[in-house]
Amino acid sequence: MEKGVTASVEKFIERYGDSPEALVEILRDMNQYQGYLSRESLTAIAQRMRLPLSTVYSVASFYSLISLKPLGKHVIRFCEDAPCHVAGGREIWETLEREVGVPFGETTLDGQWSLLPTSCIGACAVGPVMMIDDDIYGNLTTDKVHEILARYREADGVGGAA
Amino acid sequence: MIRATVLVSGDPLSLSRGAEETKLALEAELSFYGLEDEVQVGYTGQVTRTDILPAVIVYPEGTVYGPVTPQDGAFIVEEHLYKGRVAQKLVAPSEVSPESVVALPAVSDVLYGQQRIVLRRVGVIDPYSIEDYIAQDGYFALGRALEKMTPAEVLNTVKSSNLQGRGGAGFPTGLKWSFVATRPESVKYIVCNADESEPGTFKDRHILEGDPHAVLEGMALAGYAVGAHEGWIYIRGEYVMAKDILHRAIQQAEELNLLGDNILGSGFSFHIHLHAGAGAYICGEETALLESMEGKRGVPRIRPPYPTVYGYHGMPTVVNNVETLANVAPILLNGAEWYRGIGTKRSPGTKVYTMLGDVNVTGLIETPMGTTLHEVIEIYGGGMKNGKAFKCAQTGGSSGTIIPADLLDVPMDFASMAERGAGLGSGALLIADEDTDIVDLAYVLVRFFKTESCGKCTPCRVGTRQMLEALQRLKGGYAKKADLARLEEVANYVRSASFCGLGQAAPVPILTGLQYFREEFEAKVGS
Amino acid sequence: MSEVHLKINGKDVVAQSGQTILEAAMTADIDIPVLCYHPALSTWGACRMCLVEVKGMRGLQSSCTTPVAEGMEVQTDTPDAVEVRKFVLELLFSERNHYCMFCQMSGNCELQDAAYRYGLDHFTYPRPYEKLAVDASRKYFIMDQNRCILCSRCIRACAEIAANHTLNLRGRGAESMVMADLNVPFGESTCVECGTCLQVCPTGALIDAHSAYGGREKDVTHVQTTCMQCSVGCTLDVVTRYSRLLRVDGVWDSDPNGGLLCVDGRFAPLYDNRKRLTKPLVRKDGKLVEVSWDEALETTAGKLKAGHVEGLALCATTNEALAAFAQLLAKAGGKAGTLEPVAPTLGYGTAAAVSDILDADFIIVAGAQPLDYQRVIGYFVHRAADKGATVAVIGEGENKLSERATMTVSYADAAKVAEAAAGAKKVVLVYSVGIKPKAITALKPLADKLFYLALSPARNGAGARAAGLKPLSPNGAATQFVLLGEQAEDEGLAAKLQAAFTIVQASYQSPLVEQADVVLPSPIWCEQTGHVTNLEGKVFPLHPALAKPEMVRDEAEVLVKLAKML
Repeated sequence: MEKGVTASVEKFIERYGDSPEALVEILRDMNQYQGYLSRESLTAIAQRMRLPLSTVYSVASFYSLISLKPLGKHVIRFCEDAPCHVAGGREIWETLEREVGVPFGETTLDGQWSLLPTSCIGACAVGPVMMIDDDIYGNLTTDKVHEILARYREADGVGGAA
Repeated sequence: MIRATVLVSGDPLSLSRGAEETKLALEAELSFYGLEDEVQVGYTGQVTRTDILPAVIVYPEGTVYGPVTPQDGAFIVEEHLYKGRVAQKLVAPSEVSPESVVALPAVSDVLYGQQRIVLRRVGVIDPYSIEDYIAQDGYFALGRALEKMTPAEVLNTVKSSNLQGRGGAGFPTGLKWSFVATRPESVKYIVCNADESEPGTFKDRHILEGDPHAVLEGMALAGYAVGAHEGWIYIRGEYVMAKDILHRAIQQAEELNLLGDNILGSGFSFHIHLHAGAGAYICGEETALLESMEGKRGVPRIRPPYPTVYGYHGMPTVVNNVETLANVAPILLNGAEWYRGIGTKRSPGTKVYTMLGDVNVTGLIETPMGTTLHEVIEIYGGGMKNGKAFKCAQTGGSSGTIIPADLLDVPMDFASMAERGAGLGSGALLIADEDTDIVDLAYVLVRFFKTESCGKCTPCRVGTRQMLEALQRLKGGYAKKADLARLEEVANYVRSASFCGLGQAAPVPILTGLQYFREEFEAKVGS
Repeated sequence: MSEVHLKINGKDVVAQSGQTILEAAMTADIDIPVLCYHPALSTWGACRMCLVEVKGMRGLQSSCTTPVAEGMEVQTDTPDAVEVRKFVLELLFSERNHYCMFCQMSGNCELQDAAYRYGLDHFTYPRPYEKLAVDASRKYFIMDQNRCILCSRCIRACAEIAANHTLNLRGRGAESMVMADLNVPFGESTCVECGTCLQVCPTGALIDAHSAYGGREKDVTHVQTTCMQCSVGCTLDVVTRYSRLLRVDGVWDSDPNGGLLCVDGRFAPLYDNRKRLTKPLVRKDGKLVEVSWDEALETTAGKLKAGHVEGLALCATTNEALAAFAQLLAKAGGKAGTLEPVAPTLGYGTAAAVSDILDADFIIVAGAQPLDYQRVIGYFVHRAADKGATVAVIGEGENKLSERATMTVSYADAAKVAEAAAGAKKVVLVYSVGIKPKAITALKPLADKLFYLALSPARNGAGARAAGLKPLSPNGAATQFVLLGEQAEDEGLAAKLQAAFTIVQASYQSPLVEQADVVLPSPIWCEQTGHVTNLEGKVFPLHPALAKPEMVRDEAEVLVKLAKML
């Protein structure tokens, strides 16, 4: 077991305790800390909390804030629930797939972007809305999406459109 | 001596636009002028107009500035707080009329009779300051109840107020409490359902971010009434800021002994803990929520037994929505009769709505129960956008009903809506104009349920999939007449055979869509 | 518990309070169809097949979850209920691949039965399924996700009966899938191959590799007998067709195991490919040659009459055979004993039943490795631990039970366990030959509330004890040996007996058989008649599921006959 994994599990155990009811919170925080939950992390959590491996995997795979595969450097979460859909969400959805170059649920081959659907993020008053990492962008239009993504690419030193 | 309060909008969008830098600039400039002891600076999460974010509001005048850069912030301090004159060039654009910044307290008095119980402090006080809350009657109801009332009296007050659960179902809160109060177990729990996940709903987030202590006080009162000493807030995992605010609020209340052991020397102890979710709509269902709190998959439990008998860790548990709990302290403060005087006879009190869609002004409003949809659209929504005609509204988030124009004048309360087969649900009002494609709307709603189905029961797991496929064919124009008949059949069965409320609600958009706009569905057949 | 009176389909039914409508209907012989419900498992309420109408209640109620109430009126087959059941079945048939004609379980499938019952003769809904991978990474059984209806019976069986927790669901909604551990192939998982999941699967999703296509339910024969693989003595349902062993199932609600089996009881014997002994043999000119039973018995009797006889039994046979063996040796004037050691007696405490493990709040495992040798006992300990019992392991070296135990200590620290158990209400001590005297002494303070279960290595050690047989080491002085037992593969023993004249009664070829002078073929576990006594001291019957080969004779019968010839 890699030392880093054990140490971070310990950190979250300290925060939430090691009783089974802490599992969801520990998985979520560990996921946030590491970007996703590797097999190694899941095993470490199971061992430390004395829970069956299947329980840990089953719970982790149930919740949408937890990812079981590595995500890109930037994660775009786009809400396509009814309020944003009515506000023109479909077009933005298609724009994002075109701009990023992968369908929803996927990560680009260069590991720069992950495109994920999300359920309502409670910013419906300014729909359509997307989140890039922790930042929220509202009132999206095709041009605005293009502009925002270009800004990230520029900051990362990655040229051109995908 | 504090003579002024400056609030900076601190919602995620504002933060992404540099609200933190603006706040730092304000503080730096205040200390430059030696005003740091006279002017306090805090965050508020309550500005719903995004074009003015980050916004800065200066009290007591209630002047709204926005958007405010760090340089602008320094200028506001110099002009408004040091020189004492409004910095006109930075005042929020003129189109930001009072009625469009609906959640701003400075203008609440003139807001066409918005009657505020739950939102009355939201945006007015600094949510990070318990003193602000206390200064506005905060914890007064709890203190008085602990000193002068028996638990039964508290329970009876809530019972006779006819307060109904604001999570969607409208179950009488006092009755729910009494189920738990009469249980013989010595361990009981109060759980606040803050897993607000209905698309288009963000009222609970605003309450928690704007007035966290109101919820804490409501929970403590509930605990006192039913004999519980532990409370949990299950907060949606995505609500990071609200969680942070609550965390601070609990700490502050414990420091002042308004929560914790032996509250105010009364002998009553009540502790509140936070539990954040990890992304699952189904966890808003109370038994799935309890499962999730116990560290499991958020899968609904078999009922009966109900949580009031077998809840968290198998103990009697009250599960109440955020808005419900925020009503409790005002009821105890002003009496049941006062509360019954607001709203309608069958559903007293106010309701907080999030208004979205094709209206001129979108955002959060609180109005007495019984206000009609028509009034809400015209008065608070500023009418339909671009002068288009109203086609339908969807109330209560995804699980709500589609409401046609002829129900526009029905008073919105639990009973009146239920009589017409509609529901208030979570308080989301999605207003759609004449250009809206009902089949498309139903498709999006059903897709949401397919994604969020926990997969436990057959009708919901497979039925949502079948309904979505049928809608897709319909949308694509290659559905036959039989497909439409089958869609309706599946929708009816999923409604009657599903295990929990999610599955039972999933076909509602189709069923109500067919009820009011059948011809639109039929028009797509075989075209 | 009190009586509750209700009406189901107009019939008066008396139920117990706390029962569900389904349970009440079952006791009254009223059939309500189910898929996710299984009597040995917790209630799940998910398939929605068992929906019924209850007067005064809105909509349909799942009968498996709704408790009975006084005066309740239930209708199980109203048009609504029947329509919803059809709908549920149609959805299930649309979800994955359920082309029955290609399925091993056709004719023995609860989904198929339900479809026939409700007259499903075509696929109503478009089938959006994708082809899912079949997992054949386990030796004894196969998981075919294409046939799975997500009833979760297998998951509940794995968690509640085997207490192994290998299986669970991953994903949610339409993406839900049964998986093992961290979503690994079943063969690489923590699965212990007890096969309980296989037995509860209502469809062809979990398929037994040995019996697949071996015969439909209507063509097979079931015989209930007792497992002979260890001293637990689990009840078995042996399924055969045309003299072929198809599979072994557990029997729910049977003693002592309640339907739970282990790999050794359920699967291993079906794959036994050792060479069978089917004819009596006598060594002539240095070679074992086939002879008639008369000749074999006469040769044996002749040797026994000559004296200097010792009898060694491997206690893997019936009480009757062990008793006859002891009598034969007594008559021949020789010593008789068993090859296996016996766990010491404690001198305190009360003898436990296996089920006592489940009621205990403190379990001590000392000098025993039940997860290797009496697996069902190990699984019961796991089950108790899941219910919250404290498990303490005492011993040297590794013990698989330590993984889920609260504490593991060496013999020197046995007193610590006694201390930890001081506040417990009911203590069960599971021990075996490895237990050290100091541990026995250290645990004595718990005597009043201690129930013990001695796990002797001998499969029918209790039967041997009853026959007066005690452990015996071969004595160099004897020149004739009679050996009873099919698994006498001990090479050390073979070397010791090299010079003596040995008579072996066994079912399979082994090194001892190869050097024997007389070989008397005996029946195997599923051919035996008689009784065995298990570790609780309870006597269980053996019923033959298969006929013995023609020249194989019952051990007890042969031993009695030999005794008469002396």
